[in-house]
Amino acid sequence: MLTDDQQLVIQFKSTATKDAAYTTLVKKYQEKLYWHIRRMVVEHEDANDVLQNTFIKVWKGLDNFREDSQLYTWLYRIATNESLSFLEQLKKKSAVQFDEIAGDFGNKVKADAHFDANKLEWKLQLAIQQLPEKQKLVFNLRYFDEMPYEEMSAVLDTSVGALKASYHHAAKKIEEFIINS
Amino acid sequence: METKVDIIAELKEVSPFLLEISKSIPQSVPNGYFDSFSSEMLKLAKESSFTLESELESIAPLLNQISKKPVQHLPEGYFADFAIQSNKEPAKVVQMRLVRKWVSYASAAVIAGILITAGFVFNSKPISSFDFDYYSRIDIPAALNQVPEDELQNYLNTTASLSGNDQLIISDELENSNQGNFQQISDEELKEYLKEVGSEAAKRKES
Repeated sequence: MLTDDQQLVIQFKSTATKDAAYTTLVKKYQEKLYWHIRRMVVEHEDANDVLQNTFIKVWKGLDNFREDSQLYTWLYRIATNESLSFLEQLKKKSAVQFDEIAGDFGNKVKADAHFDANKLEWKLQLAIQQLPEKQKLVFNLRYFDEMPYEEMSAVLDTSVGALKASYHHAAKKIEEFIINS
Repeated sequence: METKVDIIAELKEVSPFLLEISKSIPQSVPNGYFDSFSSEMLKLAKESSFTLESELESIAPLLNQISKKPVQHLPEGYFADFAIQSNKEPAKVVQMRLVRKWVSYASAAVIAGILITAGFVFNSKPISSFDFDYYSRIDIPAALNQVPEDELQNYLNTTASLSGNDQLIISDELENSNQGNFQQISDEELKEYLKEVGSEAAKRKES
């Protein structure tokens, strides 16, 4: 019995159903991937650019996709790599330290038209921006996307043990930040 | 595989505080952003996969079937010889003979010596060569008496012609300016003046 994702991959590999399969795939994962990216890059315009790059990579690579791994984790892996590449370019352009980048992302969160410093949801967003990139990724995937460690391990190429430790550190730091702010 | 319940249980253990916070995302997305995203994405993806082959496929598909390998033949071993040529030892760099420094210094010293010597010879005539004492002792009237009348006449003519009209103008001006003065002098005063001049002339003749 084939899953929906496996069927989509087969349809994509056929010229007659390629476009329809791609559109269905994008519709299915666009929001999840968008928010995964947006939590990393903060601003909508940047998230839109990174999401487009992600789906272009999917279009070019899906023909060679190995069906031994899940399409879902493969998509997250591409989106994560694209987000990290974007952040890397941002760092090179600005040539600043991590602390300054974190402060910059915090300011971007505050710049949102709906920002409310008294609401816990916004405080949580600010707290996440204080984390190092890897911890931020682990926390977001676990807390918001509720991703099992095994899948996260496939996305981030990191051992389950290291991911658990990272998640625990991140959760403690965020709690501390919110309580003290 | 972990379930959602496992994930919540873990969070409860790590940070019960975070479990209480709503997971709703406070940020927003432009209206209708996700509605048209998939169709726009398909268009973008197709544009991104544009290749020279796909372009040629739409213009002249036959050209895509022809091999792009060159049909011309090269002389045998051309590239092997080419490689040997390029491996030749680099030519020796021959340095040009350096001009000895002392020659240039000596030349400069000789030229400087010539210039300084010439400067002394031509520009430092002693002022003492002009004998002021000799010229101050000359009796000019006696010397003039020895000059022949013709030469004096020539000299005066030449001087007059050289001074030219300026002399005339000056003498005219003097005449004009003195005209009023002469008119104011009485005849008696003039007669006395002529007598004095005449007596002085007579004394000179006698002497």
